[in-house]
Amino acid sequence: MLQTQSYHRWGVSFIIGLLTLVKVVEANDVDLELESLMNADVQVTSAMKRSQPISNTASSIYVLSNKDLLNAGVQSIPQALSLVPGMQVRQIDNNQWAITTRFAGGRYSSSLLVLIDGQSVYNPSFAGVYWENIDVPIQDVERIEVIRGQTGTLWGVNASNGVVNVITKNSIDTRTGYANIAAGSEQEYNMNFRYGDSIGNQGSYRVYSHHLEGEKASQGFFPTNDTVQLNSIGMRADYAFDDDITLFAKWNVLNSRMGQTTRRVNTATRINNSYNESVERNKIDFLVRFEERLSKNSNHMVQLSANKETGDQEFLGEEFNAVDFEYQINTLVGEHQIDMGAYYRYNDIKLDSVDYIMDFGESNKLEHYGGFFQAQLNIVPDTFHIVLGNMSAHNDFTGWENQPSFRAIYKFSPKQTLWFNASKAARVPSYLEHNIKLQVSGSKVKDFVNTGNPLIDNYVLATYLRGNPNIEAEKTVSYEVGYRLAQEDYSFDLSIYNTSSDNTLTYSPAVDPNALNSVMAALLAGNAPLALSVLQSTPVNFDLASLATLNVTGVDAVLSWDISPKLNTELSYTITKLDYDLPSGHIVAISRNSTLIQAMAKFNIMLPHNQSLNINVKSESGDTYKTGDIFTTDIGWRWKIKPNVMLSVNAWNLLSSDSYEYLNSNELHTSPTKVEKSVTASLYVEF
Amino acid sequence: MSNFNNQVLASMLYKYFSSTPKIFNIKALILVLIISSAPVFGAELDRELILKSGFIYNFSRFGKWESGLINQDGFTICSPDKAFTEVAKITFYEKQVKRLPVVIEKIDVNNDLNKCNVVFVTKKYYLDWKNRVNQLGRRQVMLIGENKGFILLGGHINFFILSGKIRFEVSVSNLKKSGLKLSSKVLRLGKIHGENSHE
Repeated sequence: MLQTQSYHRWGVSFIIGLLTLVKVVEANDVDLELESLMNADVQVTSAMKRSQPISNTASSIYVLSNKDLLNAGVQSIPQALSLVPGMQVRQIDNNQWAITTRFAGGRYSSSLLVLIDGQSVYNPSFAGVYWENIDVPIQDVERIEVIRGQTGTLWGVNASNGVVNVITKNSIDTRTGYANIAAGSEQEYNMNFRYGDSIGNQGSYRVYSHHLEGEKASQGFFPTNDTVQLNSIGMRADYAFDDDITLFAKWNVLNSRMGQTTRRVNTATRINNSYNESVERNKIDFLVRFEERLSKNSNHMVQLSANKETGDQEFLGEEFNAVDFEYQINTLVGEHQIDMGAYYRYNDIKLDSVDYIMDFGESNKLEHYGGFFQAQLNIVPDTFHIVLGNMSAHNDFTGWENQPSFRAIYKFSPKQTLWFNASKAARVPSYLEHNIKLQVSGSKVKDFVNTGNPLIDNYVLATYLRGNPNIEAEKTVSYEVGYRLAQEDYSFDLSIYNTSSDNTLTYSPAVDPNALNSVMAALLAGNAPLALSVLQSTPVNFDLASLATLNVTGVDAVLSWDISPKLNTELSYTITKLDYDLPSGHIVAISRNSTLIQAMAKFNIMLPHNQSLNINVKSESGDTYKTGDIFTTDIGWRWKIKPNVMLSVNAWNLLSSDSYEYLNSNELHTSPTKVEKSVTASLYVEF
Repeated sequence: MSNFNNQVLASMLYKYFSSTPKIFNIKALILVLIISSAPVFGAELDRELILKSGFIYNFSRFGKWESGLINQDGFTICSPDKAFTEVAKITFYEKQVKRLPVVIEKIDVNNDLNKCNVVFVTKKYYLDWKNRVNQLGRRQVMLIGENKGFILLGGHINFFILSGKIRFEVSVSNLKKSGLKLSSKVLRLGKIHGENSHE
């Protein structure tokens, strides 16, 4: 803790020093309005649920613009999310990430929904995201919207911690050639190419590719092997039949080969061994959407998307297929806004059973369907409105789940908003939690009983982590209150929340007591060989159960301040406190009782001669991830050499020693490595 | 149900919420929703026109008039459509273009356009415009429309909507013929008419 205080003091001193050093130059006229207008939706409603000004939203929402991403030198979606106050973004190794908000992230976290252009990208086996395989060309991202807190009414089950919505640019805005080539101490190369053009007078398209090769870390919890190799190509096309009907289609094909230190149980010794392997993944995504403006006040859309993913590594093969269908209509009825929609999702999951992973599911075909209704009632126009809604969603494991919400927004002046939000959400058990039996590193007899016989006491029992078809959906009730102030040159956003969950996952170790009695009886009879033979057929089962309660309390506060047209800054402070209540003998399956405090300061400085500098400083204290406190400083410099040529240099994790950001190493196929200082130089050319 | 009744209901509901802690009376809220849900279109400003007036502000800022706008007391933006001029009066309130105060004029299409620096022809008045266009000549007036074919009739900038967003096409040659220019800041965001065009 002393170290953290020292970091905080150092950080504050650094920031103050920086502020005094920067020469604040008077601004010329900066054309921001036109860019904003290009991004604005014509209707208050849009196909991406509902688009609204942030000031009218009763949620803790944060938006990263394309400019924010380019200013920070971001090269991936996880890196982008690390810029969002309140997001916990922990790098497990050079290709794996643990990311969440208002909870504790894990390699297999499943309550943060991730959408790319409205298409869910979760892996149906664990209902979470392989972040290393989310490949969106950053230069073509229009914005990333992050909603912290539960949003199940609009977004369905498994959005109980939040939603990350990545929205890419319409291809009409990318009708140029583009190349970006980067290299650095951790990356051998990272190349992005794009070419876009018009299709007649009414359409446009772009094709793009991404090629990345990265090196392994030098220090890890186990011998490191976290190399990165990724290649992808994709296309987006937009076509307007007229002003009211538009078609949007895209596809993306990805191949990745990630190095991985696999710890896998040796079924003969029943103990984990480490193996350096690689995982090859192939992924195809496809999406098509029709939108129609029915009148000045309403529109509707229909969207079909599909994806196929395979994962191959030694001893484990995975294949997932998903098809999603979604319909939505948004309308204004008088002063009131009505949103309705329905969806259907089909998943097909194939896991090649191996000697340490067994699939006992009755069916590997899952169906989800449901519908939502939401009404925003403008009680006092422009001053007070409430939003009522419910999502009813059906899944094959727990049946129907209802996720109602009530929101109220009071704008007590044009620049100040007070909002309240009460909602229920559900996290449905994943396929793995329901159907999979996994042999893990064995427990010794002496963990359960002490016989006094060293041979018996040190005997390693076969140990299994077993899914449970009877676990229930985690039910969460959340209350949140927020305040927003938007002034000409600064804004402040505060939210305070409490979320309590029932049916949270636990597991408890259990050994057949009769078997242990038989062992004791055999030993008393002096028959050690018989005792050993009993132990050979006596497993330890860690059975998943939904028996804990979890209370999460927290605060998110963000202050954005345009100190001058040449210098803007953002300061944020968030607290996330996790408090579990467990039955005796049970262990929390994900995370632990802990409090995480995050403080972040971001600076963007315009320098003479088309240069700019960004500095991001972040401190996280608390032991949620078993790492102790972390402190990171990222600095980026950009120089726009010509209107279409830019050079940038980014230094990551610059002022602290190499350290772990994640140490929950008991997860499957997870071997943390130390996050190191790195430097990347990039050249961007548009033609 | 009229606007007035909506307001009365809204006021009653507001009092109800203010006076009771029991704020989750869904039945009451649904009832009010049903009673007050008859269409009251046009109760608020047209968002599309608000955005288009914002674009026109930028076209005006980043446009160049060869005559240099000399001897003018104001920068005049005209439209035959009152719905637009009402919106524009709010958008351009206390705004300046070329260091001149902006004046919004509702005009008759058949009247002289010489007093205008920019004219915006909405869909509603497109046919009137089409019938009048041959009598216009080549004055230094930036002509902005929102109809297919507007550029072919000599227009300079034409709005269209793509995926719920406003986009625009620009005819550089028509601008040039009229003694006008647009900054590359605007041109790079628009679609240049004639590129990939079969018209």
